[in-house]
Amino acid sequence: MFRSAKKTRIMILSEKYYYVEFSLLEDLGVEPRPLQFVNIWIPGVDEVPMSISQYTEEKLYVLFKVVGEGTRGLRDRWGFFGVKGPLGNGISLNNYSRVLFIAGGTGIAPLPLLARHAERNGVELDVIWGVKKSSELFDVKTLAPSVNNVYYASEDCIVGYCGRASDLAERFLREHAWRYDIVICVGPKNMLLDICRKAGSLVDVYVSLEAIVKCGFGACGSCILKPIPKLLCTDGPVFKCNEVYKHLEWNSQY
Amino acid sequence: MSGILNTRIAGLTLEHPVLNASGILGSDPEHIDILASHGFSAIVTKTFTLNPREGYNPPILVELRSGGFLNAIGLANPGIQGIKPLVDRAKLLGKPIIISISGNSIEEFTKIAEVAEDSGASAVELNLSCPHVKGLGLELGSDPFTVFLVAREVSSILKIPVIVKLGLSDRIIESAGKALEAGARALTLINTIRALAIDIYSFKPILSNIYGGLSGPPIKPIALRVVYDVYREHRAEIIGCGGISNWTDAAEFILAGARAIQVGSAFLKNRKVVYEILEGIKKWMNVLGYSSVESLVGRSHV
Ligand SMILES: Cc1cc2nc3c(=O)[nH]c(=O)nc-3n(C[C@H](O)[C@H](O)[C@H](O)COP(=O)(O)OP(=O)(O)OC[C@H]3O[C@@H](n4cnc5c(N)ncnc54)[C@H](O)[C@@H]3O)c2cc1C
Ligand SMILES: Cc1cc2nc3c(=O)[nH]c(=O)nc-3n(C[C@H](O)[C@H](O)[C@H](O)COP(=O)(O)O)c2cc1C
Ligand code: FES
Repeated sequence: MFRSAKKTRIMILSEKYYYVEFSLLEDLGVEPRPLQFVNIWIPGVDEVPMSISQYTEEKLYVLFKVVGEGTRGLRDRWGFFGVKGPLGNGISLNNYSRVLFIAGGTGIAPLPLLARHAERNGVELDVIWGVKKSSELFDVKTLAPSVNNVYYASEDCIVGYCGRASDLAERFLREHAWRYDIVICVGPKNMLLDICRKAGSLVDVYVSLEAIVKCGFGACGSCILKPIPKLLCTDGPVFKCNEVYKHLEWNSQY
Repeated sequence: MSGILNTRIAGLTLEHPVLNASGILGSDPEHIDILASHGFSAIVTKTFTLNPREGYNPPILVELRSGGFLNAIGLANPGIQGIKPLVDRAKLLGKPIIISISGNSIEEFTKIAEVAEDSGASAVELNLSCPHVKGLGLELGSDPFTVFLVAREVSSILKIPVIVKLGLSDRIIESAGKALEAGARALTLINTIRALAIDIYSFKPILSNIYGGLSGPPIKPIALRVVYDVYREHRAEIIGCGGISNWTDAAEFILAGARAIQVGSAFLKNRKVVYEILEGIKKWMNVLGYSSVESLVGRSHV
């Protein structure tokens, strides 16, 4: 259902990343699961899918980078917005005790809610986060204080591991995969494919995908995960590697 | 194939009477996989236009507080080259496939219909009723003479059955008659109803297109009335559509005169809806002591 929300705060987290607080005029009605998302309507501009970064007491937070009109509106406009959701399947941490979260770029967005659920369920959560430029990084413990170990990677080699998050993750998992019940990976497709290929045999890997979301309701079909008959907005965004291998490979040809 | 749910409509023999409504997926081969796997007896595609259409920008769909949905997708579709892959996929899955068509002129309708037939489609459904796309749709369907012209031209060049889908209008009974006179084998009744939703805080209409088509439970009694009226007047083969969400809704439409039904919005809320409708209908028939669903069609008319 559609709910109205007032933008009440924006924080600049790093050179490119913003964290927006919305006060919902009505709560979401259900407790969102980690890695679920919302469609945020910027009146008169666009509607964009955003991971739920955090949700507490009628406040909803999203973490984003400006890439076009919609996200610019999210940063620059004030006043009232529309929120649809929570959408998608998300993930439950009920049956795990140690989880590794691997993020590339804005893939870090769902971490705060994931961390809160981990803490609540007594799950130990480690994080690997990689970005292109180290100026994009911020201290993830400011938003997710309960996480255990955090490992950073930057492709400009200024902070943390020198290289891509998937390279760091691969090296790390070769030694430490046995310590984790599952790995959750959010980021660009080529990174997800890389992790699935290299770590999929060592540990259970869940990936959270992106696609062009328009209706968010399984009606328009724009989020189809070609060539597999699944819709991101209703069946996803979270899948096990073996469910979406073909999609990850299919897209990587382009 | 013989069973109590068997349905003959527009010359097609279907396993049961529940089809999907046009525009619920249906523009991509993988969409056909999804629809087929949820039990529909035949697949109706998204409405195709001659050329690809991007559709409108989001928001294109909003679920309403009062129930139902408002949508303005803008007939997003890949154009005629997208038809054959859908037909091939449906064939692979053993499902009849009905290509929904819209155009800006009679020539466009006939061109697309020919592509559908040449691709091996089971039937075409002429969408003369989209309530929110300029120049296409409802403007056509609300004028009985235009309905006649489009339906006659398309029917005269096709061997496969032509179904005409109409929207709510003052002259719908007349339009329905004209479609039948022109050679339509069946009618799909009805499309969404032009409507509006406004966000009370930003003061803006929610859909990017401002207007949208209302679907789901709020339009059911209206659609039922239209099916009833058209059946009473013409005793036509009718596919009932509009707000059907469960087996009792479906049963009402059958009694009003629908040989088959289409489900759209309810499928968005409940992916098991087809099976639930079929189970309910079977039990209902059992209670009544009927062994063929077809013998219940139109039974509310005395
Ligand atoms: C489930 C999901 C969760 C997401 N969560 C986040 C998040 O937490 N933080 C974040 O910064 N970004 C997130 N995104 C991506 C974000 O939705 C897009 O960056 C945003 O829609 C771009 O809109 P725009 O108008 O600013 O840019 P545009 O000018 O529209 O496009 C810029 C780029 O974004 C891509 N894009 C455009 N529209 C969409 C869309 N509707 N869905 C997906 N990609 C699109 C385009 O392909 C293009 O590469 C998420 C996407 C999905 C599908
Ligand atoms: C998201 C959406 C898209 C639709 N697209 C089309 C379309 O392309 N062509 C068409 O004839 N009807 C379209 N319709 C109308 C449906 O086919 C159907 O007539 C209407 O929704 C009423 O049925 P329902 O209440 O079961 O949804 C669309 C409806 C919805 C909700
Ligand atoms: S966004 Fe429309 S089906 Fe997923």
